[in-house]
Amino acid sequence: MFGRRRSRTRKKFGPAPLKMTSMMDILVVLLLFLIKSFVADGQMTPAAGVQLPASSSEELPDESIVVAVFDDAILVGEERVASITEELSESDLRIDGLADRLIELYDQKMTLAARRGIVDPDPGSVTIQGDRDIEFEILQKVMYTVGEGGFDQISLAVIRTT
Amino acid sequence: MNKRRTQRFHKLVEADLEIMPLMNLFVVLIPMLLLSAVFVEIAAIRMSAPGDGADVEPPAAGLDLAIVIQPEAYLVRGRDIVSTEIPRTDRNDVEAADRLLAALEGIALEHPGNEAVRIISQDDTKYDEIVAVMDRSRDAGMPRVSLQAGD
Repeated sequence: MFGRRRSRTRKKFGPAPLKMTSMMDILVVLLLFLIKSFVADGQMTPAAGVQLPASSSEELPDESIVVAVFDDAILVGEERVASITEELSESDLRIDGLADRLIELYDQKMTLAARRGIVDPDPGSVTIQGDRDIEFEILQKVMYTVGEGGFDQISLAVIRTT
Repeated sequence: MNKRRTQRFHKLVEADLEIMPLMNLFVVLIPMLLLSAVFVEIAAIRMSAPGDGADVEPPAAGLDLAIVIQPEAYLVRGRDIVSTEIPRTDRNDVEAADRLLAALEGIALEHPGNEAVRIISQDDTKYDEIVAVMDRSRDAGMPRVSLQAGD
């Protein structure tokens, strides 16, 4: 008797429908926000741990080799090539680990260009992602070494302020 | 008869929308967009490499405008201009930076052909201080910036 009444009640009300309207609203707003910040051409992102300085510059960074300078590390891409503390203790402007890696990348680019038959190829540029707290001494050494590595065009990455 | 029509209308209105396909689309789209979204816009400052201070000769002609970043002041100097010292309290002194901008704008008005400026920094000058001075130079109409080590 008890079971019969329960099944009758279930039949009367049926399964409760989910209220999807509010969830759909959230998803639509989220989707619009994400479409607004969507970038298709693979824009540069700062290396993890780097706090870039803010600037009013509006030039877009090129696709280039990235040298990150922060805390105690100098990185080319993801690879750590030198220590800031060690480099600051030396008077020489050239950072050997960084120069060796950049020369390697320069040679790779030149070999590739030669295989493609490109006359007088452009080695491209290097973008320096420096932490806002690094000192000029290390920035100068990094820029000098980038020049030594065969790259004449240098870009400093900054966070764009509006 | 009227009652029957109303009943049929009610049945039609209460039909549920099939939102599952739309939900599936959203569930695929949102992670994809999250992966390719950029929340911090990065810009670039293009410039020439710095000298080491010893082998860089100042240009023989022209204004040869230089901004020296000192811990307590900005020093603006060059040929045919009166050297100006702009005191500052610390590295985040925005008012001092704005006074520097005003001084540079005055120089740009007097010498409209000049677009180059040397920024002379000390070894311990912080990177964001240099970028702030670069910004003021560019805003004043002097975008060709080069870096140099101080004495």
